[in-house]
Amino acid sequence: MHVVGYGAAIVLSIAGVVMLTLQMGKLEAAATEGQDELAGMERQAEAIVLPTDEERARWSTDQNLMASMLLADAEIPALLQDVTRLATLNQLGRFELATEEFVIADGAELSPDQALMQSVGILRHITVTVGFSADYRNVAEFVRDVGNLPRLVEFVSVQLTRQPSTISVTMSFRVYQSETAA
Amino acid sequence: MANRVLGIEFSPESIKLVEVGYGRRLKVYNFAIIDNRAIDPGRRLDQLNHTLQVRGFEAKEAVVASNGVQVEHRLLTLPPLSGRELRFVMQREAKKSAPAGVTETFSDFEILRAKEELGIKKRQILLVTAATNIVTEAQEFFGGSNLKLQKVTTVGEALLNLVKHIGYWKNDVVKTIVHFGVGSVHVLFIQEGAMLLCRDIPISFKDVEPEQQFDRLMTEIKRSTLYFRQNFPQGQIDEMLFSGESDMIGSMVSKVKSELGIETNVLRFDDNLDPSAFKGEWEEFRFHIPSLAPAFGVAWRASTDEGLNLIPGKAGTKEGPPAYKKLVKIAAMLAMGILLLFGIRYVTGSRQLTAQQLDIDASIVALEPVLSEGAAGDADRSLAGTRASFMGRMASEVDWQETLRSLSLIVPDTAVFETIQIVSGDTNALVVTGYLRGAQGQTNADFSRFFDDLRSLEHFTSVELSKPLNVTYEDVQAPEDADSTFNPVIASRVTFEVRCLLKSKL
Repeated sequence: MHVVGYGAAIVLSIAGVVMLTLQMGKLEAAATEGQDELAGMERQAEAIVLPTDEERARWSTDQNLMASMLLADAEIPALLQDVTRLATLNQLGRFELATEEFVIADGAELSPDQALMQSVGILRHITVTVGFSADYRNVAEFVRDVGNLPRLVEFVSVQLTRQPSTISVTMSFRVYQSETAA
Repeated sequence: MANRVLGIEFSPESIKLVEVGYGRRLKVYNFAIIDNRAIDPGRRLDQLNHTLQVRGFEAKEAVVASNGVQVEHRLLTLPPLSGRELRFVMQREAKKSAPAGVTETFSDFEILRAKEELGIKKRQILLVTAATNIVTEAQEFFGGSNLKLQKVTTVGEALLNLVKHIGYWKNDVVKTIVHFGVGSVHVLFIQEGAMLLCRDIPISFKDVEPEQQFDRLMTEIKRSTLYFRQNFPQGQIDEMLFSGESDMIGSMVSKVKSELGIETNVLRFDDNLDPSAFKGEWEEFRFHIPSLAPAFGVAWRASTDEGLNLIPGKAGTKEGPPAYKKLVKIAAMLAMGILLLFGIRYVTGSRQLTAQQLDIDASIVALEPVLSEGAAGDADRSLAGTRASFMGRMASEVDWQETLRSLSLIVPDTAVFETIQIVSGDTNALVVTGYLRGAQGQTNADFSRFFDDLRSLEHFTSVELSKPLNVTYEDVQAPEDADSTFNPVIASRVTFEVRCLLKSKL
């Protein structure tokens, strides 16, 4: 009976030693993992370059500038009026104009351009397509004037086709809009 | 429950039983005293079984102190011997110490203690030799019961074991135990757990007057004391303790004290008993405790293997546990020691690791705001960069007027531009499609010059043919009004598409 008890004590002791060793190994592994994590965080912290006040001021200015250049829904008629005025100013013939609105839908698959647009907080734009006839000089000046409008204007395409005695132009450009719908 | 055992003082006339459990204090569960003198011998076993059942005894193992006078106790002092030698010596000594008139005996011995005499290590061994009928009688009787008989020993040995457990010894002090058993009185001289002398005195209560019995017993006690002093002149009897069941005990306590000058008392061990599990009235039981002394003594052992056993073949080992048991014990202790060390290491290690983990956690918590601030700064910087990149795409830097004017300056007379397409995207480009028409050979030279001039314009980073040149030929028919001097030639048409990458943004 005593031998059985002693045998049981041996077995239990060995089991206890194994269990304690395994448990200790787990604790040590956890401690090592924690140390590694801390070391990694310390390296990250050392590598941090916090933005300077000048940078923050510049970013704020840029943001405000961009916000001021975004087109509100209520300003669309004025924009079209401006484009028409520039067409008249540059003596464009047979001037035609069409607009199309684009909105980034939730969950929609985005092109790289659209992803960039979304990353800066812009979800909408209108695409203005104009067609007209003019000579090279007027075409050039019209393109330049449209680009100088106080809006976020991005040219998509310009196509000049030679016609007898003049040039037929089809041009489209995007004007980015502020987020709030009218 | 498992370690309950029945301690029995057995004689044909009386059976005294205690049901006990081993512990620092002997746990008493139950007891019974069966007086068989008025019961027919053939029905005594039924009486025992009936008592066991009615009184609710649960123990199945029984150890018996047999009450008989054909017993010889001898204390031997021997140098250390091997197990084989010891058994041989004991067999020889048992033959020599057989009780008078007894030819067939059972014997067993117990190593009581080690001592040193004149610098020589010796062991005191108690050898008990008993007539076989004492053992067989018990075996036969209990063989018919529901009990499992594990041991048969003597009342003297049982009393010695009892006194060892009570244990209030001073060095070299001798105590005398006088126990009144059934039909005999046992006189023991005990020194520090060793039985120096034991006399089993038969007495008959039937044919002798009580006064005569008393005188006879006094004489026997005096003879025993004298015999002891003759054989152990160094032994000083400190106290004489009386136990058992007899009306004479009270008178004898005072008589012995006055006549022998020895301190006398009653053997008491109530305080060594644990009454917590006792069934019945403890105060009533206390009255019987002195008479149950041998029953307690025979049962007060950690296991029934301990101590003397006169049953042939059931004698326990005398040389301690075998080597493998010792090895197992040592291994168990070693394993537990290692476990203890690992436990200590684990406790201290886990404390250190926990403290370390707490430090790490605190550091991580302290770093998190810094990292969050850094991440927010990086995100702001990234957003600002993206915004700048986006804004940069907006303003057109192309001087269209100059670009188109430059183109007009290098166009050969034979060339016609059909379309000029401005393509925006990752690379902004001007795609010009058209053709040159003229005399064979002339158009190729014109296009080559035009292409070279185009490449030399500063507005473009590169100029390439986006489609292969297509050269066709056609005959020029003479007009109807052509005169004779008209010289018809073969006209050539070179169709081209060139792609000019713009230096500036759209």
